[in-house]
Amino acid sequence: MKAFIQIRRNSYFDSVTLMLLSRRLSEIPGVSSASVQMGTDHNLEILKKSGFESQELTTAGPNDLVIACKSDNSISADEIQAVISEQFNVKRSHDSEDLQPRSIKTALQEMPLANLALISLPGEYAAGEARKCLELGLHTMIFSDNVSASDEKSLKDFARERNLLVMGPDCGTAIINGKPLAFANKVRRGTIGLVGASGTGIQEVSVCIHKLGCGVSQAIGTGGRDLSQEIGGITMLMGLDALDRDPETKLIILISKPPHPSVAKKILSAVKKCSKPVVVNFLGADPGPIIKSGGIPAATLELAAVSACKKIKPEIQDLHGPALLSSAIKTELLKFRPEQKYLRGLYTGGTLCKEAIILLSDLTIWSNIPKTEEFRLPDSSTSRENTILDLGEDEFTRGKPHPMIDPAARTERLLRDSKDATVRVFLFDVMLGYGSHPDPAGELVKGITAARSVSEKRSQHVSFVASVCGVEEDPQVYSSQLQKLKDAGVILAQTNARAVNLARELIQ
Amino acid sequence: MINDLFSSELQVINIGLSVFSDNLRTEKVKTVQLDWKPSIFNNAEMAGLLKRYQNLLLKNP
Repeated sequence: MKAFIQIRRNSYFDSVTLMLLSRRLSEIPGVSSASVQMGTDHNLEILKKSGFESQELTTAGPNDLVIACKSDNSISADEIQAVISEQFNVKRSHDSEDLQPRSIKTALQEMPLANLALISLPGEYAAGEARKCLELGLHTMIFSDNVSASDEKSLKDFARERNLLVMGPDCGTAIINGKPLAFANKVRRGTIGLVGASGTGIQEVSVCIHKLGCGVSQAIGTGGRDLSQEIGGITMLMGLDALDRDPETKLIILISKPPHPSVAKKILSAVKKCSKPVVVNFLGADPGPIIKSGGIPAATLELAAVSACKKIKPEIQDLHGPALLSSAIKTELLKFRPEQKYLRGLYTGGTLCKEAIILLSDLTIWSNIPKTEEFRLPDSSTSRENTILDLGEDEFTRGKPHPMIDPAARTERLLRDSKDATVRVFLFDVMLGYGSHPDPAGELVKGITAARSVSEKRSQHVSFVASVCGVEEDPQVYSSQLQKLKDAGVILAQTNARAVNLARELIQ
Repeated sequence: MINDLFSSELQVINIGLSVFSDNLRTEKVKTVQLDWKPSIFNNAEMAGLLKRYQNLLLKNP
């Protein structure tokens, strides 16, 4: 094994650029591992632990790009260099020729009416830049994760005093004035306002609303930690209040995992005071207190959308689409062998994964985000019996892109689990919209084809069930994504909740 | 006011992933992409040295 290390001084690149180069290098035959990172202390430490040792590395700083590969003797340093140069030439030709401002103040001179900052820097820098934006009167959406809870609290307190919105940290999805921000679908505008502590939760609900013929006025993301005791639901309370005052919004939906009890109390007392109907989807929460507060409880993301749309248009009954084909399920059930018993859910969306686990809570489901700690997988890299995984969790994304951006980690896991002769059903989510991979269905089909040939070698039939979260107007085009999955023999459901119920029928 | 945001044209300063700027421009949202680089003051070692220097100045004005 040879080590190739290159340091490019004073060359800052965003994480997507780094990911693309890293992926290109990994694809070179003979390269066993590739890392492309900025030279922060943390990244240099990881490189050291991975066995990259060189005097030069100790001189790298956070503004320097560090490229490190391990390869066998079949490839020369010049060949690796050629791939690096080619990738940077592509990047240069894509970048606009415009001179970009280097400070927020200069950006504001260029665009004096700017009203929102979208921040997706590495976590250690995000809070500092968000503070500057708030000081300049900008509402802020912080996509970055790895921001401390104390920084989040102080940013949100500071913003609240100034009537400014802080969405995040770790806020993946928002739709403001009909415009999708970060990971969001191109749903129609309408009269239903959303406030959600979960990106994929907002996506699933807004897509269902669109499919039911209604639309979204605003979708405010709070970040996953907003409803913790420490933060106290600041953004959700401000969002609820703003939507209550908003003349476009006729009804509000709140989406979250169950909040901390003290925060739930505050939220539900605000629901009680709200002048508009409020549908509350606190995944897995007791509906009693929600009903007491005058809210409308919804057990699933789909039901949250259906309840809201029915309030707006009483004639709406349910999502349209093919009914469950019980005959198809019966046919499928005849194909399994006796040793095939279990379900494997491989999710890219955290909240959809959580929803699946809660809907199947009468079964034993192992997970890396279990309903109760006794069912936490001892080792996330090894499934057992019925397992449902959130592949967007830290243990799967460290040093890699999120699986919604690059589904390679899911394909890899699917292939590994397909070697298990006790598996009967695989369950997936397919997330469309801005920010997501350009062809998630195509990528999934590659994995399914390979997994199917593994099980066929054992003379086994395995079922694949999926739901696609997206609309026709999304960049990936919903119908063409659906067709790819259909052609690959995937059993399709309109929503995640329905896909989970189909999977349940197949493992009964 | 948050409600002012809802009643104004959305205009975004994007700090970080340039793909988010590209997507916003596709949606006809006025967007400025910041050419962001870490400042030396974000570097823990530099910040520490600066702090020591400031403390020295305070002690020996």
